Amino acid sequence: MSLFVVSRRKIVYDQQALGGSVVVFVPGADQVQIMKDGAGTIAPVTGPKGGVGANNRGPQLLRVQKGQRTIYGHLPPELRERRERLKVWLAEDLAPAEAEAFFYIFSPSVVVHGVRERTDEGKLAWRTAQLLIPPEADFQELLRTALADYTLANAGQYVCLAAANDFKLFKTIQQIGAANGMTAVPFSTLKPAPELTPLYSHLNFTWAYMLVMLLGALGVAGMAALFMLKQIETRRVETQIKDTDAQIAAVQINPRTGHIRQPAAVLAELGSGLKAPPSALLAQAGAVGKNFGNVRVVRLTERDQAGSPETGMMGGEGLHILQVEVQEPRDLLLVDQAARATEMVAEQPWVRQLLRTGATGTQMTLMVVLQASNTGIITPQAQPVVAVSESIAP
Amino acid sequence: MTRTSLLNLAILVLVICAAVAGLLWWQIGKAEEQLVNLRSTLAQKQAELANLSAMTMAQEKLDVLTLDERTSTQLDILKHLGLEQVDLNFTVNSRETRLVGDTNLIVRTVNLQVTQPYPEVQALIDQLYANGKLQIRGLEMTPSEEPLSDPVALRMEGMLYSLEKLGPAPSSTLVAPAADMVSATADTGVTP
Repeated sequence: MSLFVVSRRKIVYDQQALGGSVVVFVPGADQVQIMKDGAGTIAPVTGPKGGVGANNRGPQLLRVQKGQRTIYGHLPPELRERRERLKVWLAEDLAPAEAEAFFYIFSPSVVVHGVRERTDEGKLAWRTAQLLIPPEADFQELLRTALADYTLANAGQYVCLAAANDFKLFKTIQQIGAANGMTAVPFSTLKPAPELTPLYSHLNFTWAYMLVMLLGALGVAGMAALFMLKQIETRRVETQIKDTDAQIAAVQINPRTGHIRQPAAVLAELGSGLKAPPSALLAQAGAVGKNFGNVRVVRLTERDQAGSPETGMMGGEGLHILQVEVQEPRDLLLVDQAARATEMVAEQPWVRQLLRTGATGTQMTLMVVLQASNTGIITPQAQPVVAVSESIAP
Repeated sequence: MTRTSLLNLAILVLVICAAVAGLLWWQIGKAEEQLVNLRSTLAQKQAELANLSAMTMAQEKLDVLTLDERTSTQLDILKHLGLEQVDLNFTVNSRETRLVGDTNLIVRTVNLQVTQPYPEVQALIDQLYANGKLQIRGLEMTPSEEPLSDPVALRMEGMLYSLEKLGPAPSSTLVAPAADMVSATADTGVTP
């Protein structure tokens, strides 16, 4: 922690160190201004730069207590511009509560002395001053004399004797104080009373400023990254457009049919035809007919494919209807034919329906409904088999 | 660095950052606008490519599935169907012209009759079904009544399509198209 001693308007002692700064302020009697308000409230003083207590000479060192504002002076610019945390205290703020006087020895040439005394108004107040010690004077002798004089005149009073954190100086002061019955303490052990507020303080905003700058830089970096991504995406899309153009240019138009503007419509006009391989349908229908007798003809016609509601013929997706003419049927009785048909439908799930449409003598015609998948493969279906016994009609 | 100069530096850096960020934001906006336009152009071109590809594929398919009307003799038809080496009876029953858009589609109804062993008949049916050049409308298969003979008779009815194509006609064409084809049909004795 840095330590400064400011007497009147200049810095008389400067001990630089890391961390915050403590300023011990010793005002001249002619510097102190007291402003009172009868109502006990003090209007804030706003300087040209704004902020309470600021004016052309920098921040005021002031304290408001019991309805009065006491202005002790102004903060020197060298301290005002320090980035580290800074607190300015009066010298007497650091004196212990029971002390009637103090001697702060910061160096052989900087000694601050304060005495508590009663004013004309009957109040207890401190009178402080920086002792002027000529360079050629014997510091130790002067201090020894001063302490002895004060002890002699104010016997029994507690005097705070503090020395700056210089080990050699501290040992010297300790010896001088012991000769007068005083105990020297390091200055760093002195703390102001909790109810006191510093005359001036500011915080170290270095990290906050750095953070703000870093955030600004990060924002710019983010924008730059986004801009780069957009540029990369733009280049990628441009490349895709060029590739697509190249693909369009590379499309080979058929020289024989390239003049046809609506080929899809023409293709649709061509029709799709049968979905199942007709050879498989014919073979399966023939195998079904062979169970009833000698197969004479197996026929597959487009006009039969829609089914026939009048005769109860099934029709629909995946169903194919074939006509099988059979000679010399194995079973002459209708009930036997129906039993055989039922057995066949049970054993061959792709046979969905059998319908006998006509029988003359030793010849009969069967309508066979086969189930085929859309891929054209005749496969068993999971659907229940349609009962056929009633479909076998005379 | 003093407290005030650090504050001024922070303000300066912030102002510069804000200015640069604003400039970048403006550029990003322009780039985004350009990107939207480019994406729209790309979508149009991809749609154009897809349509062109689909149309080209359809034209290719049409070229494969249809006959060239300029060279639609019976031999050309059989070559088109891949049946030039099959012993069969081929007739054209009817010929009609359908107008599809601005394209004349010529539709012929044809009959094929062949008597061959059962496996060859099955293979013939599969061949015609697989190449799709003949839309099969009816099939009738009659097994031989002779117990020891294998051949079966197949009668097939289908639709054959042809178009007026461009470019040089195939060199294998021996005779002129439609009129000769009709006469050939008449020679077969089948009523159109």
